[in-house]
Amino acid sequence: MTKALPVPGSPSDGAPVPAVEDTAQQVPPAGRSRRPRGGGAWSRYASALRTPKGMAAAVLLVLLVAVAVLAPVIFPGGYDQQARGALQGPSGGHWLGTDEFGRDILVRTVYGLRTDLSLILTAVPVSLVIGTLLGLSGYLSKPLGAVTQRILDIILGFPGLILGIMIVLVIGTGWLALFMAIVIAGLPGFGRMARGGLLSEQQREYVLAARVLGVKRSTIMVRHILPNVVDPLLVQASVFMVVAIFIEAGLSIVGLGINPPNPSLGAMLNVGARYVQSLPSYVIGPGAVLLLLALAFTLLSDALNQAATRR
Amino acid sequence: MIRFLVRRIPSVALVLVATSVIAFLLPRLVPGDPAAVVAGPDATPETIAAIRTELGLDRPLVTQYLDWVRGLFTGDLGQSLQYNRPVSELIGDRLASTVELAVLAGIFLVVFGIGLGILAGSARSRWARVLVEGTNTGLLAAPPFLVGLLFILLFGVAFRVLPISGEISVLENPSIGIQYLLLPALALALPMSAGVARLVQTRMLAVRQEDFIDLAVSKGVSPRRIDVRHVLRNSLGPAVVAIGIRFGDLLAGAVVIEAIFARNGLGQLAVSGAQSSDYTVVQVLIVGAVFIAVVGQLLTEIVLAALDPRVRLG
Amino acid sequence: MNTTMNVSPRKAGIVAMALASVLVTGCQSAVQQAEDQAAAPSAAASCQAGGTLTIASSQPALLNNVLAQSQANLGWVRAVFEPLVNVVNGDYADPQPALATEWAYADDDRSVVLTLRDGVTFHSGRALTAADVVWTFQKALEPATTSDVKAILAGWTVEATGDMEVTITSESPLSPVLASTLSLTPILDSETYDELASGAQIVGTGPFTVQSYTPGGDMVLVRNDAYWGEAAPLDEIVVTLITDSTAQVSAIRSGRTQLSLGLTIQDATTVSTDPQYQLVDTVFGAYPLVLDPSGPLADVAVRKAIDMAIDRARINEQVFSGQGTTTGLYWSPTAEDYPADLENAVPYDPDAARQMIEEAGATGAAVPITILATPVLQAEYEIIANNLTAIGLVPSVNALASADYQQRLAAGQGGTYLSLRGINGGASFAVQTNADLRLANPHRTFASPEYTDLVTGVVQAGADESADAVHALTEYMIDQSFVLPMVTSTGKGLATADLVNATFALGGLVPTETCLAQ
Repeated sequence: MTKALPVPGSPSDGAPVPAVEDTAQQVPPAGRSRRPRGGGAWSRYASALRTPKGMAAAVLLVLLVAVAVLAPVIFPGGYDQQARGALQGPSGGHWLGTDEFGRDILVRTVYGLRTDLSLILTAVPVSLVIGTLLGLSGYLSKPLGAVTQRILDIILGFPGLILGIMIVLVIGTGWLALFMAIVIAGLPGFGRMARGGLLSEQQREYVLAARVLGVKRSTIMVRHILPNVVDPLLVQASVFMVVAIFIEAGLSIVGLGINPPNPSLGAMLNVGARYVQSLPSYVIGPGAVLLLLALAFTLLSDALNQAATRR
Repeated sequence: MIRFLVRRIPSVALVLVATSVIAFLLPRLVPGDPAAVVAGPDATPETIAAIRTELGLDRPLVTQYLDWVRGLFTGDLGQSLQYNRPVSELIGDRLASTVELAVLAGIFLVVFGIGLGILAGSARSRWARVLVEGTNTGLLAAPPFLVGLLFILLFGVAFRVLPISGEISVLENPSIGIQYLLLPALALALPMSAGVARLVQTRMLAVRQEDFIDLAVSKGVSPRRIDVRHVLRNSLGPAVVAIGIRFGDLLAGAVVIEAIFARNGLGQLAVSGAQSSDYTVVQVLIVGAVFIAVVGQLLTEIVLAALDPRVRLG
Repeated sequence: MNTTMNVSPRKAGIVAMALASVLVTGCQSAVQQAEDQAAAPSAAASCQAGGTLTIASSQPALLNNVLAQSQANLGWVRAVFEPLVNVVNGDYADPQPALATEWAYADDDRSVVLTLRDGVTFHSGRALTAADVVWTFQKALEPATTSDVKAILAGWTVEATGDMEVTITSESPLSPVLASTLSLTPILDSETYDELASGAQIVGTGPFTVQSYTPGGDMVLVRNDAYWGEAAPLDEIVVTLITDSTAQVSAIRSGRTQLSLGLTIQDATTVSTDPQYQLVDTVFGAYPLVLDPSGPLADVAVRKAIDMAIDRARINEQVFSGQGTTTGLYWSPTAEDYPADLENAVPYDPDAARQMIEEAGATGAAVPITILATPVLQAEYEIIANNLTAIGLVPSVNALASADYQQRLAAGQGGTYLSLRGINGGASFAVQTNADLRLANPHRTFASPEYTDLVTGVVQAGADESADAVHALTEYMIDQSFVLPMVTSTGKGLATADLVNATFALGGLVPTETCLAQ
């Protein structure tokens, strides 16, 4: 999916993706809600975190978030300490060397992580929630479902970078524009996934039973259907985190990314690519952090997925 | 299948109409005047206004929209504001380049995506699985710009094995043309294939837990036959859907790869059009891309139905 | 639907091997083919006869901009179209004859008689006459035509006083502006002009004709054997579009191109130290920061502080790889009335600047800066922002795409902005045509009666008074600190070492003697 550059990971990564009209999804025995008796969804996720993969993911994520949050404490000077000595190699004073304006690359990498996390940890959940609601809206009324599906189809078909560029130009460059671009880019994937789950769940006996008992449609949607479709959505969200970073990187290439001098991992990779032969640490820093982020989210989605398919 | 397609026509038409309106309005919402770009950096407001009139931009919006849509039906896609040439010509010049790249990258995507996924899903030893999954994660985190550049440095500068700049059409000269396509297609497909591979792998692991697999094992079916005949076939569904979605990306969005390998494709045209507010070009590309995505969606559903008899074309 | 998906590894392996063998055996290497094409037959002299020069341009050709200087056209426009004179190396006083062979100024410097060259024909076969020159200048004046020198042409009367003679009359002195104005206005063919914008017919008088043109793509030029002068050494010039700066470097490294125009200086200098490549001077330009005298910047002390706070030397080093000059003056140093004594009049002194800001009570004032979203301006902004933050101001960036940027600046709504301007003449020429400096329709927002008077003084000054007039204007500009040139620099192109005589005049590459060494 992604509305930006060809990027790894589609919204359906790591999880079954149903077609719009039907599912190729793994089908639990008909009639039985996947909500486990006793404990509920949270205990299932908690147990996912107790597996080796889940623990590794959690530790890694917590570490990365902690470093990002504590960046102003670890590096109180900020990310814009320019100096004459540009493009210097790694040394005692600058572990990863300096960039083209003499700033410490390690410091910029950490602050870049901070910027990226501030974007993806807000935009992706928002996209997830809105996309899910759009996808599930089909349960409230069929025409509404059809309309939202068509809207999502249009967003999905829109050429990615163009959509991003136009959103940023309309709103004006900066954090908010990138936030909106990421949210909009994620909607079709989450929406499709949610709708697929809806289609397979809404025929289940427990749903029909609730209807017969007179429970309102909207209540059914939130209290019964939603918990059963949320698993693949979470997995997809974790993949979209990395994709979101590449969306920002793509916009940075055309000069519409996060406003300078604010660093971001994607923008640093773009600039550092020019110096990959003379100063490889410029890309190694942000590249390694990106790799760790991807690893953390991959492990997390694997752990969650295994918990989801366990019965 | 024909009935399925026919039944979908109204919704496809609706999507295209809605898209045409959005494609028309959204570029005009972006602040800026394309006439200012055409007029050059030192132009006076008078020049800009004169050029604006020449380009027909001061007519009422509804008129401009209707003229454009009318033109779409007669094959006149409009005139580029920047280049003063028919949009159809601009697109036609670049279509071959983009399609070639998309097709080869698509093939690589299928081969590597499914191949890697199978490897990961059927890996018996722990080490093999860690290795494959590690490669996969690495590919997932690979920034497209950097991957392309590394390919250039490795195969074009350090070891001059393949050309890294420009293009020659495969139709003109197949053996040379494909050499120009190899690196860009690989750079485009490899990172994307990681996502597909994860899908296949996850599904394979999940399907393995199914009852019918236990039945097959207890019947004494060989592991390889189980993998191929039972597990694999049931795992490809989501991969097909994902590939279908990605194909739209390949066509409309290989901008970065086109830029660094100096290929003159639709992606470049789209970005330069968006940046200089060339409304006519951007409009057509948006509608075209959505149309292709919708067609891709239909194809995906057909393939899915072919793979999985439980899926009925709705 | 009971087909079995057969993806046995063996079959996949067979397919892979088949593919590999096709590629390996009996298949010519594309790299080899490219190298073969680039290597042309060698000659005994250092300049080989014939050959193809492939030029990479970062922007596609803009056919409706041939009467203006633009990055997009630098590679081809002077190969196809020729002006009356060519200005090379900033020598405004002594231009080279092109389509005009002689020019005689009247004593009062208010008129000049130009003698046109005999035997010049357009690529369509038609002979050049004075009527064509008059037509071109009239065309340049039309509102919808893009021309750099409209403001000057508006004050001229251009008449054909003979078949091959043109007389130009002006109300202000001609000699300071004539060479630049003529040099930027190539003579066009009235018969085919209507089809020029779409590229259907690109007809000029130059040493190369257009063989093929793909809009937004390649342009192929071939030698004009009916040229009025000596036939050019090169057989063919191909101008190809490569927008990405690093891709341009890849192209030249792989041998696909021999000249790269429009790449960033930082990319150019990653390989220019290699003896296989060289930097080529293109056209001279300035990178000014133009301040909007409103809000906190209405106070001239604040503007002066900004001027003193900016580390121009570091901008030159880190953004322009040391290739520019940081005199702080807007003018071309090759002009005769250049006020050399005013170079570096404002020192870099961030401490004093900080104090000035405090005294003016402007600490914490917001300074929004508008830029075009290009790499060079963004890089400049990063250093400027760093400098301004250091003295207590709060800069913020407004990065715009070109449609928005051009429109706002033209409407005088750019605020404080960074820009890039070509410097194509002496001070008199600059103050009449340059969008940051001119009186009519300026992009800057600063205005004052003194400025108007001083500018008018420069425009009206005769040869002996011009140095004083320019000096006075420059002093005022330094005092008021509303236009702050960061760096002035000759643009750089990247070329292979075997490219010889790549001469750039105003407007672009003049390939009459350009060739590839053997």
